[in-house]
Parts: sequence; C-alpha cells; structure tokens
Amino acid sequence: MFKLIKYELRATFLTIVGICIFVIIANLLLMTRKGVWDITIISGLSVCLAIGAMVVIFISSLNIMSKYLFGDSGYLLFTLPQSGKSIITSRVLTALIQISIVIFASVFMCYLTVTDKIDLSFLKNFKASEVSYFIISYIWGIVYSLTFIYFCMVIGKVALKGKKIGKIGSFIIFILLSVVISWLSFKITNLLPQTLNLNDFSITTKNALINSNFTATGAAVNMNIASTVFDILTFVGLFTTTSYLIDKKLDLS
Amino acid sequence: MDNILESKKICKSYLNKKALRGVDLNIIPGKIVGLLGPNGSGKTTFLKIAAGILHPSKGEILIDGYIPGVYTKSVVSYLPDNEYLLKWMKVKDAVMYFKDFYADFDEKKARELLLFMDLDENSTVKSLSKGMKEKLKLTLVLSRAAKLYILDEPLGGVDPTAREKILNAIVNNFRVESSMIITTHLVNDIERIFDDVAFISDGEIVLQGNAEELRRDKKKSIDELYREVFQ
Repeated sequence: MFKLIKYELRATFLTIVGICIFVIIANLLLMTRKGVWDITIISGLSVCLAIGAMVVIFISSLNIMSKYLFGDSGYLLFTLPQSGKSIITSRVLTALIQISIVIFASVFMCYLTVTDKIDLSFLKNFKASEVSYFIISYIWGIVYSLTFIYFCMVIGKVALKGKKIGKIGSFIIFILLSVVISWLSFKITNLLPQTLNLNDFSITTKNALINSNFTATGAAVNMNIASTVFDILTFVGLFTTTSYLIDKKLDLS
Repeated sequence: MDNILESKKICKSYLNKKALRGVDLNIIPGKIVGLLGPNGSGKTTFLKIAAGILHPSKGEILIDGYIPGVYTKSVVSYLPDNEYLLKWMKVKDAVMYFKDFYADFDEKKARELLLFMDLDENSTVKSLSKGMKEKLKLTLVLSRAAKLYILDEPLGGVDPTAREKILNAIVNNFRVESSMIITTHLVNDIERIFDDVAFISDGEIVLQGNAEELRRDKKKSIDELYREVFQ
C-alpha cells in the first residue's frame, strides 16, 4: 500500500508543486498591493486563492481515480497484486497528503499576506483537546468525503460500465446518496439528540435543529452521539463496499 | 499435470451482447498457446477475465488453482493491448514500478532486455513510438518469473523488424515451468512459436489442438487453417 502511495505522489508531484508555486506567487503579488488596495480586498482575494487551490487539488484527486476507472491506466493499477482495500486506502491517503500540502501552503501564504507581523503566539491559546478535535475533524472530513465520492465513482462504473454514462451515473448516485445520508443523519440527530461534550465528556440532551453532529460553541465542543455513530457506520459500509466492488465486480472496458 | 489455467464454460454477457458463450480451455505448464480469432471474437475478453480485470457472467476460471484475485495477479504477467503505462514515467521508473510490486520481477533481466530492445532507460514513456512502447511493455512483462504470461496482441502496430525482435524475446525468455497465452491477428508471423492453438469465433472455441498435429492432420499451416476457419 505504501508503495502505491509513493507512486501516486510521484505522479502528482508536479501538480502539487505547480499549485503551491501559483498560490505563493499570487500571494506575493497581493502583498505588493498592501497600502494601495483596501486590506479587506487583499485578504478576500487571498482567501479566494486558498479556496481555489483546495478545490483544484481536490478535483485533481478525483480525476486520478476517474482515470484509473475509465482510462487505460487502470490496467496498470488493477492488475497489481493488491486488494481493493489496499487500493482505496492508498488513494484516500495520497489525496489527504496532497490536499494537506496545498492547504498548508495556501493558509500559510494567506496569513503572511494578511498580517503585518508574524506572531504565532495566538496558538498558545488553543487547548490540546481543541487542537486534537480540529485535526481529527479535518482528517475525518477529507477521508469521509473522498471515500464517499470514490464509492459513487466505483458503483457508477460497476453498474453502468460505459465511460460517459458511468461518469454521469456516478454523479447522479452521488447527489441521490448525499440527499439520503443527510436526511437520515438529520432524522437520527433529532430522534436521539444526546451530545457528548468533548471538553469534560459529559452527556447532555440538546434539541439539535441544525443538522450537524459536531458543534463548537465557545470553549465547548459537542458531538451528537447517534449521528457520529451513524457517520462511522456509513463510512465503514462505503469503504467495505468499495473494496469489495473493486475486488469482485469491477470490469475494465 | 495440473493445469495452470482452467476455464469451465466461461460466459460473458453485456447488456445486448454475448462476448463469450461457454469457453472451455485448459493450459498446462510449458506450453505456448495461440488464441486466434477475428476482431470481436472474444479473445481479449477471455484474456481480461484470466488477468482478473473482467469478471465472468457464468462459468469458472482458475489460475494455478485459484479464482482470479490478488494471488493470481502475483503469478500472472499480463500484457494488455493498450498504453497503460503512466505518462510521467521514464523507462527506468516503469522498471522500478514493476520491481516494487512484483516479487518475481528480475531487474537484471529487465536491463538485459532493455539493451536487447534498444530502449534508453532515461527516455520518458510518452516520448516513445508505438513500437518502442510495445517493446517496453514486453520487457516488463517478460522480466517476471510468472507462472502464466498473457500477451494480448504483442505484435500490434509494430514494424516487421521489431516483430522479429519481439518474437525472439518471447522465445528466448520463455521458461518451461510457465505457460503463455498469446492472441494475434498476425498468425503467419507468430505461428512457429505456438505449441497449441485455439480458434475462437463469436465467443466460442471452434477448434483447438496441438499446433503440429493440426498442421499434420489438416495438411495446412496454422495461418492457412485460420483463413479457412474464419473465411
């Protein structure tokens, strides 16, 4: 699996470097406008750059999987003596690394562009539990999203075979499944509103009208227990099914 | 002797088409088998099933006693008829890629074959001509000590000189303890290396046997027989 990650990273090395260089140069250009343009415009553009870079690298990660499923390069990947589980894990981890590199470069440059003086003392205000929560949420968000999208792509390919119809089908499956999972999550959150406070691990019952299993209010980080369990089970189901489909059902055209 | 490949009534159907209609084919170790047939006869479909990248609708295929999966992919060396190598790779990257993923890959042999094929290790895959790419793919595939080699149109799109070189590479690197299955349209060029042949038409094996016996019994070359069967 780690060998797969190594080659995946090599394959996308130029894309990652290209995006990072673009973000750095664009932010440097924005820095030259300090004092000329309003700081809100500069910071707005810098944030837009960061979001754009993240979107590009995210789509690039999906595009690689699409090429494996619908293009000739799949003949190289899927004839390797690797299980579906190993293939999907390596794809997700590679994408996580790629996205993290671009996010780090974008956020760091954004900070440099906006600030007048580099001062990282604000980091001291964060508690270890908050940092852990943030890191876990970040990794979970990316891993879950990618697994969900890869599942839709693989099931689209398995069910609909053809290149064009398979891609369109994957997108439709993605929309439908997103709606179904969100609706179920919303219902579960309302039915079982017990939340776990991650600061003191106390359980409270909140009327959760907002459809979110994680809420952070002030210093308290709350997690809806039922919805989180649902998300974890959904993730395991999606991951297992995708691995199974790759091993047993995927036909390359 | 145990079959290295054993297919029982393999069928493959698509929505409105039957690509394979019950293919029975057994291959024992030490044999080079030619799977011959016109376009759309089901040759590539059968090879893809054996390589584990297509799943049969009905029937059973066993490679070294196992249904296609992770194990069989580790003992099957498959040469597809498309350009599957990644564009960013140099020739030496492709060699390292195979070395990293296949325990039976012989790097020394790969370097010798690259030399034999006149391939520069520092060339990028995308800069290679079609014939050169074919030679590179074959180098990678033949550098493995696999139990079963599956070559789908190894001579496709290459000039006659390169064809001769590729055929020599196949013959010189074939190991008696392994087996090979080859599909081709260029029967005349390649028939000398076949031990057995199977003619496939419309998803069915219509004739199969030992190449030498067929030549003797029918008093025809395999190429002439091919033309007769598929006229």
